[in-house]
Amino acid sequence: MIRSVMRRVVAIASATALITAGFAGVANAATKTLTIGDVSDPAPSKYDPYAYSDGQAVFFEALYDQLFVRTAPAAARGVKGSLVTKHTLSDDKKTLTLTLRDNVRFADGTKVDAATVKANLDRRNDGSLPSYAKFGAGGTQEITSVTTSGDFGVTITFKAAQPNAAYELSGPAGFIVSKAAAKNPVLLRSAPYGSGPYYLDANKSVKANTYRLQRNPAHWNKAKYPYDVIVYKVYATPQAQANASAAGQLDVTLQPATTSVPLLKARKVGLLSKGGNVYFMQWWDKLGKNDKFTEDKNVRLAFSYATDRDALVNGLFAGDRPTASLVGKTGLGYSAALDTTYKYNLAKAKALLAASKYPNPTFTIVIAASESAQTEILKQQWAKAGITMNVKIAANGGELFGAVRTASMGPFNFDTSNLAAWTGLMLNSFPNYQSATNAAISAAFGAYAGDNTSAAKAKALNEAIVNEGWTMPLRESFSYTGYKKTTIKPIKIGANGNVWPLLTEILPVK
Amino acid sequence: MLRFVLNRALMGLLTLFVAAVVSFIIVHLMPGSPGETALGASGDPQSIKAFNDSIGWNNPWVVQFVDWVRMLLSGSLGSSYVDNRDLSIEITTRIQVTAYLSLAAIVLTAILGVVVGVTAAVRGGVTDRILNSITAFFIAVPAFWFAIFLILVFAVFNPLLPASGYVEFSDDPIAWASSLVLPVLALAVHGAAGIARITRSAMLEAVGQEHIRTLRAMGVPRQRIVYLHALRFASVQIVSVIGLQFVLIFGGTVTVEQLFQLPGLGTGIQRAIGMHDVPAIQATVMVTTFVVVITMFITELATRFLDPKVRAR
Repeated sequence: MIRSVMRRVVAIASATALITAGFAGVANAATKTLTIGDVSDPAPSKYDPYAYSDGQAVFFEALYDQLFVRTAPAAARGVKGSLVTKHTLSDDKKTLTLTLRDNVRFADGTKVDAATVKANLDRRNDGSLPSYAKFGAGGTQEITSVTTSGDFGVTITFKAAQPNAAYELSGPAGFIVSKAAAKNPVLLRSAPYGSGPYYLDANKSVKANTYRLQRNPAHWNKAKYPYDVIVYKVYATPQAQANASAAGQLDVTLQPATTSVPLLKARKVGLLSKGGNVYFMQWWDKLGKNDKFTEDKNVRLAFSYATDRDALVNGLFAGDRPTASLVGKTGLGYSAALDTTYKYNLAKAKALLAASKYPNPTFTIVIAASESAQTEILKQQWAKAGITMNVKIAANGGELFGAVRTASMGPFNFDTSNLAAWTGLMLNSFPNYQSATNAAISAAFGAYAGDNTSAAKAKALNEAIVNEGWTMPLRESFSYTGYKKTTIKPIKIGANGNVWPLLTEILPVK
Repeated sequence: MLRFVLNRALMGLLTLFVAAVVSFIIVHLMPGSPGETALGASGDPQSIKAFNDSIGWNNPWVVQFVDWVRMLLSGSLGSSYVDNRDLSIEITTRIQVTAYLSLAAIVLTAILGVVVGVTAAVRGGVTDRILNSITAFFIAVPAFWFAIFLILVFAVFNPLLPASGYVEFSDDPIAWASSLVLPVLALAVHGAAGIARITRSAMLEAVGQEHIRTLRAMGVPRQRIVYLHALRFASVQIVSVIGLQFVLIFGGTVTVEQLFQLPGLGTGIQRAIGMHDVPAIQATVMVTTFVVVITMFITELATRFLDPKVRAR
């Protein structure tokens, strides 16, 4: 009797489970879902798109429409209207006139109109909004007035000429929140107020863990967005994100850690990478004022020969590229010759030191705690050449930045795809507190400044800086985006010029 | 019985009160203020002070405490200082995940622990030594290490189960169950090893009892002696440990929830502490304490049911 009852219970339970699973399967097959995994919460404290930057744009693009959307390639700084149907820029490039789309509504039912756009832009002096800082008083694209004409006409006047005025109203600065939220931004602390192609399903979202975005069926441009649901997952650690990606749970893996790259490659996750950020040791002192030996260029270069960059990268920075070139491999002015010249050569390092007045340089470096692993490896490598480096962890930011004046060298990184910016800084700002001069670098900088599209001149400048022993590059760091090859078409550097794609650039294989 | 229930209810209320006082004092001693949390970078000193005044942060602590307790008694857990979300909804959502996780883990812990412990005690010899070594290994291995091992083996290198994430039962029951398998295993195995040890020693003690020897002499079948009489005798100790183990699992899900990216109470309180979200911290502490009080009460009831000596006290 008992057995018979048990059998029935098991049979009913199995049938129920199968039927439920079947329905769930059917529902999943009919719903196109995009799962994105990130290691940072895109909206940790509020859903205010102006409070964030490009890195979070893929999340906010789903919730908010923009005035203009960017078009590839990024270097062209091209845009096309999104909420804007027509725009004209005055001859003096100071006045931008917009005509808005008249059929767009926010999730709260109100219409996108000129008054709403004005209410948004009127927040430009709120200091807590990074993407609006450029429009505020004293900003690089300061707006002096915003006026409306009729329901859908907006005139924006800039303080100075803005040849790319429309471009400035794309990306994070181009999002438009509803009038109620623009006038009372406190509302954005608990919910998004947008007109975007998706809305936040608050019942299925858990703060800092999962945001579920459902398709807005009334969106004016819904055909452009192929997914019915976007699940945006937030991972507490890069390893958890990498595990989920390697296990095939994520369609798009936003900015995985470089240390996760070998695992992702092994598990055949597609990877888009962008380099250009070079980590280096900067010689703050080139005149021997803090440590006498720094006056000798050959001693400074001996440090470079004594550095085993391959070992450093293999030991600590899997996914980075060891390099002695100040410019990354795809940047204008990359020098393969520098990579060859400054290959690890302990004998040469020792020879250079022996030939100098300072065969055993001894000095103290002041670093942030986060740099201690890299510094420890360098310390051991340099010790083999007879160099003694004492390491001091800075107690605070003041001590760390003060080291620029009192120490010989320090770790630094910069996106050197903008070589002119770094050179200008290096010659004229804090990295050169002692006002050292160098004819070779200045000449190369002058030549490059006069022709900043010339790869040869950029390369010459790169080589001058490294060969003169002002900067000692160690490694090129990369940013990555991972994508599941079976579900997502290969992601490329797109309209925003960055490794993270726009939402419209994430397309399903089928 | 009524006296016992009333006594435990009183003790439970006292525990909740102490937890409320301690958590209230600790969060008020934390550096910073809710105004700084809520307004972030945009908060100038005036607006921070205005915000703090508006929520009564600058009132005497006693007044604030009474107001907070009054709100709790009215059934509300308040709202977050960070993003104003309703904490009753937030914690209801999160506690479901932690509850599923903890309940499944404790059921598995109990079954595994009792089966292994009884087997070791009854079989003895080589089986006992092997099982003892295995349980010693799992007692030594922390849950997070085992969790990482499970993720690598069953999700990353053999994608049989999800490496992380949680699916609602209503969305997809199969995916829901799959999302819990690895975290439950990670939580259960460590505790099961401990329970197996307790079960083994309790069973060894039980089989040496006079009434068990008498049953043997009377010719009662061995299976009946072991699984009915000896296990019942041993179960008093086992049930007490299972109750404690549940409390440990419920309170210790933080690491496992984080590793598996589960939106439970553990990750919730971790975020709340990180963001200095005072109401969220206090609400989570109170809810967790309440669960602990109820669990201990149920454990004591079960012990009374199983042990006549305890009932007689």
